[in-house]
Amino acid sequence: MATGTDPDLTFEDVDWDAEQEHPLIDRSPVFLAQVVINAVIFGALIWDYFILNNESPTIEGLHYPAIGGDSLIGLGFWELRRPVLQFTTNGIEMTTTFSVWDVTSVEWLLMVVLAFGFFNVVVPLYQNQRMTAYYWRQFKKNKAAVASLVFLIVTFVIGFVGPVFLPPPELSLTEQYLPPMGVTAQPPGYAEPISGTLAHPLGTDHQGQDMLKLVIFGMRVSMQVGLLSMSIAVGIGTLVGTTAAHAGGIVDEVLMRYVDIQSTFPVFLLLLLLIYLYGGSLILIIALYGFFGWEGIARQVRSEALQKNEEAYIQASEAAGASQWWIVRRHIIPNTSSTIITAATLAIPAFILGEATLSFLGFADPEIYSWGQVIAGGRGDLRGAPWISTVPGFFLFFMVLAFNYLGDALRDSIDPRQEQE
Amino acid sequence: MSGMKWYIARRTIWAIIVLWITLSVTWMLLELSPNQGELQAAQQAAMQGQDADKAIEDYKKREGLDKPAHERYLSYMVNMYTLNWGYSTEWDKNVISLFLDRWPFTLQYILPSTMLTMLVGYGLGLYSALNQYDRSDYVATFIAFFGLSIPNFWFAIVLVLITAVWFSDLVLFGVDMSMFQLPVFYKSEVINTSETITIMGIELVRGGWFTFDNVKQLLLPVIVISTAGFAANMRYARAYTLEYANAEFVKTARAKGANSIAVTRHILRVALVPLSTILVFQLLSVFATGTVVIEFIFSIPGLGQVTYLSFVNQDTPVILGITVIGVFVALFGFLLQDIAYVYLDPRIDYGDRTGGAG
Repeated sequence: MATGTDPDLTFEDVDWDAEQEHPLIDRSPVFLAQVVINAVIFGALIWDYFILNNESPTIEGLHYPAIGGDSLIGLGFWELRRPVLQFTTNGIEMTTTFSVWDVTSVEWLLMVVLAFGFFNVVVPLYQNQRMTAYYWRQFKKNKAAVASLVFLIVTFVIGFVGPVFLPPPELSLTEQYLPPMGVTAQPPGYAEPISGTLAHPLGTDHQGQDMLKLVIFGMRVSMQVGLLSMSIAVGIGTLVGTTAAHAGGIVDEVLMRYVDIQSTFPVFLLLLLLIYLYGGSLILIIALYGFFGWEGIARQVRSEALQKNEEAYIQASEAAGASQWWIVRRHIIPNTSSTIITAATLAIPAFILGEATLSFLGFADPEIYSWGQVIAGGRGDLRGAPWISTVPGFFLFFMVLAFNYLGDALRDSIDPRQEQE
Repeated sequence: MSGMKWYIARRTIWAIIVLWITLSVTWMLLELSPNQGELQAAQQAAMQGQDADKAIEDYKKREGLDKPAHERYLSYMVNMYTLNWGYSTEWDKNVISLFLDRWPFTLQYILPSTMLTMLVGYGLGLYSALNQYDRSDYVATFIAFFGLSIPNFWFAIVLVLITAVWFSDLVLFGVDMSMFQLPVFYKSEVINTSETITIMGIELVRGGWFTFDNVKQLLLPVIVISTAGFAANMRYARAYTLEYANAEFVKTARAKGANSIAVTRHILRVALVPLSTILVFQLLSVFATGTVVIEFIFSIPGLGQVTYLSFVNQDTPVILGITVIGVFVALFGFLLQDIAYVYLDPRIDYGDRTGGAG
């Protein structure tokens, strides 16, 4: 699996002595790059948490003195992001710094996940270009799925780049309930109908916050929840499912009994219980969905891995003296990857909807710009300002729809059994 | 047959063990968390100028928290299993009687939506599988994806916007839509009222569960909660029907001249086995979240609203009770599913694991 990239290489030409000396530790440049990137991320994380004061931002900039009330000017786009001023008074000397980027725990986690995804999905796809082309040909047949993929990539980029360049939505008492561009309405508190303008293309909410900014900041939260919770859930589910299938016996029994118990406990109630006990920060919600949302994935992976377990190459590997861990990692996980990837794609929308529901009910951190919260905020003004509740919902709906379509198409294109001509 | 009885007995014992494990986990979680009553007692004492430490001590003595952990655990377990679930300060009521008051409000829309979910879901799934790659298949598939993807709380709000707000002054094709206007908030007076009206000499009680007014105000909740469930059921029904659509026994039935109803019956009889294992799991996941959201939006005074308010007001006995009910309903559902599985599939190996979705 790992070698044999040369298409002209035949069975007889393989230098089996060289293959025998297959190193136990992978020393390929891709693997080394992965190690280096992870080391950098973890190093930066440790630096942020132990060397830097918890309150100071990860990347600091110098503060330019205030000019006529506009305190941060002429620094390119960086000053737009979270201009937190800090005053350290040492006698008469006063220095001010502002945050360029105070990396949160969610963002640290995301970096690890994106690096992992890059090295385990993008790089293998690039290395196996023939299979990539085949998958793409299969996938391309489904126009809705291609449209979904494009929509999701655009959403992902806007959601992650937008908040870097844009200042967060601001409360404004003078710009409440402005209708979206091209819409004329008479919102509450207005004597006569007004029309929306380009200044606020999607209008403003009851606190005067720009809807477009709320939507963009919400994209980021939804994407973070979906990707991170999915990574945790798929990681645990894959490990448990493959281990249970391959080990069998008592290990299988204990693991799957635990899965039974966890699926009995209503996850939503458990979430409410834990949020009630420990507060509803974004990282906690992500972790809870990740750690309590993997039973279905574990079951699917287990049943797929049970079939793979009977294959001859597993027996060959066992006969050659491979360890259990080696077999699971090198043979079972790669060969159940179609199940894993499909389950991953279909887990994302479930987690996104879950987080939106929690924040709609008001159990999430109120300082996070979540779509669910915006929708809840506009509930009282359905008659006068229906755009507040409806606009973010469209984005939420299309994001979830796109992930569902994508998952369905991936299942069809990766799994050859499903091919029905 | 004794194999089957033994199997059912084993599943029941397992359900009791799981209930015990989840109760223990809940107890441990509550043990590890700061006690709200204790904080309140301390706050109250501080405000009245009394010693806060003494107030906490008094509170602990009153609630029996000064006893060692194992004694508290034992009394907690005994209380839970003997349905002595404590007293809700928020509703000023026994927790059990609170639940007894509220469950019919939840059941009145859960039952119709379960039936709708199954009938429409399985029906559409079968139909679209038997007409695969037909235009109707694409339409049905699109409807399923729509139902799966639409956030139920947003769907509810959009439906309220259309049927309650826009219908109030909308004239469509000359029809005044205000007569189709649906109520936004649930009124429990509709059930409790004993007002009578006389139509054509017959005296009718206006109030009650099965009245037009009650059905009218449950229409939106039933539609919203059925959407997600029916979509998932349709996808599963379609997938499993496709699996058996070209099986030998179906081909044989067709060759013998069976009409489409007979063919459907042949397929359904086999497809129901995997479908039944998914149904419970899937209904539970839809209803656990759905009831809270639906009752929050439409202010239906059922168990979902109790759940929501108990978490908002931090009413610990109610939170505990609702968790136990949630676990119990799930366990009971899985037990029923296991038993249904035995009846539907005579080939079942009693030693095999069946629970949950595959």
